[in-house]
Amino acid sequence: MTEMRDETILFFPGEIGERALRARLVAGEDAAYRDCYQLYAPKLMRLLMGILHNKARAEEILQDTFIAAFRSVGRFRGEVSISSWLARIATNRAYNVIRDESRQKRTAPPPGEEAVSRFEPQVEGRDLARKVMVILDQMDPSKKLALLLQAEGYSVAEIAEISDEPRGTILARLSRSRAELSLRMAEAGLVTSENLASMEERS
Amino acid sequence: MNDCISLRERFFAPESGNAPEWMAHLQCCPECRLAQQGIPLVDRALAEVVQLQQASSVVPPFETVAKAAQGAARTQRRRRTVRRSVPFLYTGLATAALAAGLVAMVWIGRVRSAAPKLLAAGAEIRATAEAKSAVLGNGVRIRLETGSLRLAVADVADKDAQTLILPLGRVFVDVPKLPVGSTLSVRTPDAEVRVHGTRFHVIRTGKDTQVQVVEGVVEVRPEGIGRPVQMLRAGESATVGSAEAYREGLRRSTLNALDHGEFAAAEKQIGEMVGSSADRAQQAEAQALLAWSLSARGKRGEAIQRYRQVMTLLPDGVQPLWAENACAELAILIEQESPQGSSSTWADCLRRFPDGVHAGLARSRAHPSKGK
Repeated sequence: MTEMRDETILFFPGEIGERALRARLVAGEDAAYRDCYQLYAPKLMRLLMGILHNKARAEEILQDTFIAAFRSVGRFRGEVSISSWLARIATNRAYNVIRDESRQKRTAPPPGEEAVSRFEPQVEGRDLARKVMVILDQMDPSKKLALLLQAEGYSVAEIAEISDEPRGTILARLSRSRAELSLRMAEAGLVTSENLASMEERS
Repeated sequence: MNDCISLRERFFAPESGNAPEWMAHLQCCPECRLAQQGIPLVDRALAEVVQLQQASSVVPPFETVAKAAQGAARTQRRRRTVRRSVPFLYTGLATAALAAGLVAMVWIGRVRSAAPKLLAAGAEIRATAEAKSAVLGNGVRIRLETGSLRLAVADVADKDAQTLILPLGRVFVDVPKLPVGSTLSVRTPDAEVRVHGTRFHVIRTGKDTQVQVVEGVVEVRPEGIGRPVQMLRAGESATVGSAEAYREGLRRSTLNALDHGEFAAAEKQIGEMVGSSADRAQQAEAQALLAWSLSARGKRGEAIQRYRQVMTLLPDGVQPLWAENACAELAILIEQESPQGSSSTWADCLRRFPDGVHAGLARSRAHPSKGK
């Protein structure tokens, strides 16, 4: 007999914690589902926001992702980490939504300043981030996803699991994406001495 | 340009170092130099992007997916229960399969045991608690309902003539169409039932043998010399007594006929008695009855001759009443023919039956002077 628990269960980092959580999920422990959500939802939400730039849609897909994951947890064998597994579901759903929307609204304007404004109009001092987001939206989706996942802290191996592609492919894609982003930032006038100086100051 | 792409893939990777090869390339490639210059800014910009998203991302509460989570948890618990019960299920199934196998083996064994076995030469089957079935090499099927049955060895050697010995009991025989010249018989102490493709019952009771024919024709040969053969058809039956009983019946009916003066019928039955007599004593008795009949009909000479034959056949030491009477009858007949010639016959009677019912008469006639 399982009981709902309010306290968050201590989650060991790494493979041991993942395995323990998966075991609790498969065992049908109610608290495990809450723990899983609380542990992975913020990271996934950030990722979905980075892809979709729409809070409502990101929340919707986040919910869909967890509902789908919870329903199919019995079939999850642990070949990849829970984090990668959830991210794969979320990104697939996000890109499905993007594809559906692009089909329906072929005449819609490409993401640009409008998207950035929808993204975070109130935050100040984040010009560089907002402009980089515009550049990322103009890049190939797979490159953008690789860069976003890397920025979220996913390892190359995890990005390969999420994208379902070989690790070498992801590594090369990341290099090309970083170079492309650097050149695009230079073209956009973002690689300035001020920015570089500012960065050095922060570091 | 291809070199640039290749080198960028190698050296713009996260945490890649500044190799001499890459540094040399940067000296001569302004684009790569520009890209290299912006790489630290790229990492910083991506980090700021994450911070920006973090600031703007408010994760919906767990309650938005709580219902799905509860459903999933319930499903998992149910599956877990099922998984835990699988070994017991397998154990139960294995036990059931084992039990079914045992039942099947027992059933097959019973079916096999119920199938009629081939009755070998000399083999004997007994039906005690339940009926037993057997089959002979020529396809004859036997169902022994009671008693015991033996396939005679001597007859099995001749495949064309098989004989079943039924000392006591009841057997049903189903005989297929046998080849020409092939016979099957069931022999009881009272009769031999010989068949050529038929179905019939043979019942041997303690005193006689009953034959009931279901299909075909049965030839019933009663045991004993001179007994008539009976041909029974479908639906007919016959009861065959023992040879002794048959002879006793003949004797009784003969005496009855003589008592009623039916000499012709009596003499015919006496002929059957002679034919069925197994030993000298029985033959002698039959001859004595014939002599008596002849005497009664006034054929004194023939009667004397028969009585003399009786005395010849009668073994020494055998002293039944009929023999004593026969001896006295002979002496009286001789006395009627020649009074002087009967003394030797009376003497023979006295010698044979010194304590017989006619001993006094014999003594007085054999030695008339002593009697006076």
